[in-house]
Amino acid sequence: MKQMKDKRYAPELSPQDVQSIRETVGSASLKLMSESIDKMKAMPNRAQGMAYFDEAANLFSKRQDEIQAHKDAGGRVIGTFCTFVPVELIYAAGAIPVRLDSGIYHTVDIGEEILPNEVCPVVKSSLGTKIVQSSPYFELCDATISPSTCDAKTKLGEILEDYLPVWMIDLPRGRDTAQSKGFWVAEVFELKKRIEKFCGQKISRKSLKSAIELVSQAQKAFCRLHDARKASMPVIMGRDAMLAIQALFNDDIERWTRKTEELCNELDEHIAMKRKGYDAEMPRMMLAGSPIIWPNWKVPNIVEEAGAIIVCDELCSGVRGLYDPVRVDEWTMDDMLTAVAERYLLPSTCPCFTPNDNRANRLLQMVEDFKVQGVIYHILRGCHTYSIEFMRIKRVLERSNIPIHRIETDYSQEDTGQIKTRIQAFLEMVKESII
Amino acid sequence: MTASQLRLTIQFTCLVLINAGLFGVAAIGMSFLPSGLAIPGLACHYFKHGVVDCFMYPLEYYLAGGWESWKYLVMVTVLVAIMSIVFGRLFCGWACPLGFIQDLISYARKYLHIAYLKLAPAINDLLTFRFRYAVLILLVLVVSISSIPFISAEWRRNLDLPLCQVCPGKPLWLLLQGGLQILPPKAALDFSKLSLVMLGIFLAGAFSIRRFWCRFCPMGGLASLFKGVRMVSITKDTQKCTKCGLCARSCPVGVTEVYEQDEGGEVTSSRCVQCFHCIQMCPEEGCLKADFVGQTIYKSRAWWQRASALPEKGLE
Repeated sequence: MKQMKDKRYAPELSPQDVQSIRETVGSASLKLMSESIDKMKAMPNRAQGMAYFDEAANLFSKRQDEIQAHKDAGGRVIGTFCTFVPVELIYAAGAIPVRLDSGIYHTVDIGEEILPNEVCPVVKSSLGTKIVQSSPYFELCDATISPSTCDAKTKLGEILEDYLPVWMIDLPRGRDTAQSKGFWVAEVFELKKRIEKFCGQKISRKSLKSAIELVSQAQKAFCRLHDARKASMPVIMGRDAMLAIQALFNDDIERWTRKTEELCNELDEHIAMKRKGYDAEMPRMMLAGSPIIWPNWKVPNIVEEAGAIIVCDELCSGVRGLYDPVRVDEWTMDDMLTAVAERYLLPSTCPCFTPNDNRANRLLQMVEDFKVQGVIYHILRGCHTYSIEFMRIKRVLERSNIPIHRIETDYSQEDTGQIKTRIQAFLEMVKESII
Repeated sequence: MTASQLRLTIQFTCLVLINAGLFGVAAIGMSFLPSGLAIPGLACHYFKHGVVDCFMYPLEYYLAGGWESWKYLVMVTVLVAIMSIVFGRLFCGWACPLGFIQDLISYARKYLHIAYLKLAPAINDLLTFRFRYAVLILLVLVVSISSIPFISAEWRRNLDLPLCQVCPGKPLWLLLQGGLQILPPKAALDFSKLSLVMLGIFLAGAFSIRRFWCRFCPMGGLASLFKGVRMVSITKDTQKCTKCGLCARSCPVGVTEVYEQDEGGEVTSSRCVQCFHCIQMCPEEGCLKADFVGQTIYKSRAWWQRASALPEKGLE
């Protein structure tokens, strides 16, 4: 009872209420997930390697039993938010990282009980998911690491302290200055000690090295997948690639790497044989802006069902999270930790940083590499930093004659029809400009 | 073969072939400069069979000779200028025997998994900009003084070849050659006590700080004076750059310009030793390039496409 009194934010819900909401949310999101999967399966010539990821995409699948078994054996599970948590440290301490950013529609309302209207649906949904315990992965977490990125995410960490241990890692918003770098590296060194203490396991030079190699192998597989999307005759739909990438949020990293390599082998074969591809006439789109997290497949579904293909994205839920490697110059503890720390801070193009000149460069380079013909700039309502940077990105892209279209939406499905009309019109315009 | 392996091989080859006189160019070296002097390059005069000197030795030698040797002084200066313009500081990264020794010491340190000391940027700037040129100017001043005719013979002997009096290379090479019995033991001991102290500083410095000596080496300073006109340069494609900071972190002499410069194009710094380690470490395809008169001689590759996506164990 005393504990309940100490809660600072958490609403008082009886276990029965939680139970019943969880069931409703669970069945609704299961339905939503299988609908999206069916839509993706309906595309012809789909790579067979996707079957594994269709299974993995089920957030209530048997992966939770594996994690439970790891916990039963005395292992720890640590939740992460955003793309700034050095998962290498978590793996090195023998723990499992799970990314907790949520794309579940039906918990947004629950998050709204605590959070004001202006907050973005990712944060609302993530919090709501915890309140009604509807994400098995969140429930399995022993602690969570919450980087202070945007305002909503920063406060989310504070609110979640009502439920489980939360470690804030303080992200310098300046990024490019020497002071910022020094501060962040020190923060990661500190995090290492915390993780060691929590997991009861020292992070040794060897364990960190093998963790870096483990994650690097996964990133290497990701880079192959990323590269396969450059093919002028598309071999994989954007939604499929996004789904595969996001499976790593909670999947076993070694198995994920293996399965992704298998998928890439299949795709490379398609590219080499010039067969089984998708229509090369489809407009090549890039997704930019706020994260699109499974099962929030609203925008990708609309774009690809309207006859376009998403060839790349710069989303923190997608490419950005896995693109930049940890490259170690000297395998000393000091250098490895610095390499890990810098990898998460310096190349990030998250708009919570100022100045953020890299982002425009990164987009332009991707436009070039992937022969992008149009950019869909997705903004989740309440996601101010992306919303603000839209003007700048628009200017940069228009200077290179790349049309860009701004879509502002949230986790409700009411605006689906309206967005569909607008995207169709935009695609028409893109198609005309190609000819 | 990675760039660091290639570099190590070339450094070793240079040490053996040039300095041990196995190159057939001994005759060229002797032919047009008198008094047994060799071509100025980044090698050492005190190798028994050496055919290449360092930049400083012939300059010091002829500068001390006063007016009588002006012709040779001009000749050597022109040679130094040509060398610096054509090869830039490739000498430092790829041929200099002192650089080679420092790299070997770094490898030993890496093998022991001991972290190197990171110099604060302010201190590194002081070393690589101010201190380096202060040393260079001081050397020229000392040599000029020693060339004044009415200075006593004893003074002149003490001031003669001032860099060699303090350079750790002289005792290092003489001791090595003495140890290998290439030189008679008497000659092996012919170096100043001060230079022995400098050798200690050099070895300790190289163990804790990567390319410690190169940060203020006056020869590097001399070669860097031709930075604006030299033929070897490092260029950066800003659009491809992800600002991951790897170039700055991996640079053995603490160059930050490659990372910081946002306009792209040429990013070579005057303190860069042109070892191209940044290009090897850069994870982006074609982001960093080494150019020789506009021709790309080496460029960065996408990290995941390399034979080994992970940097090799123990290598730079």
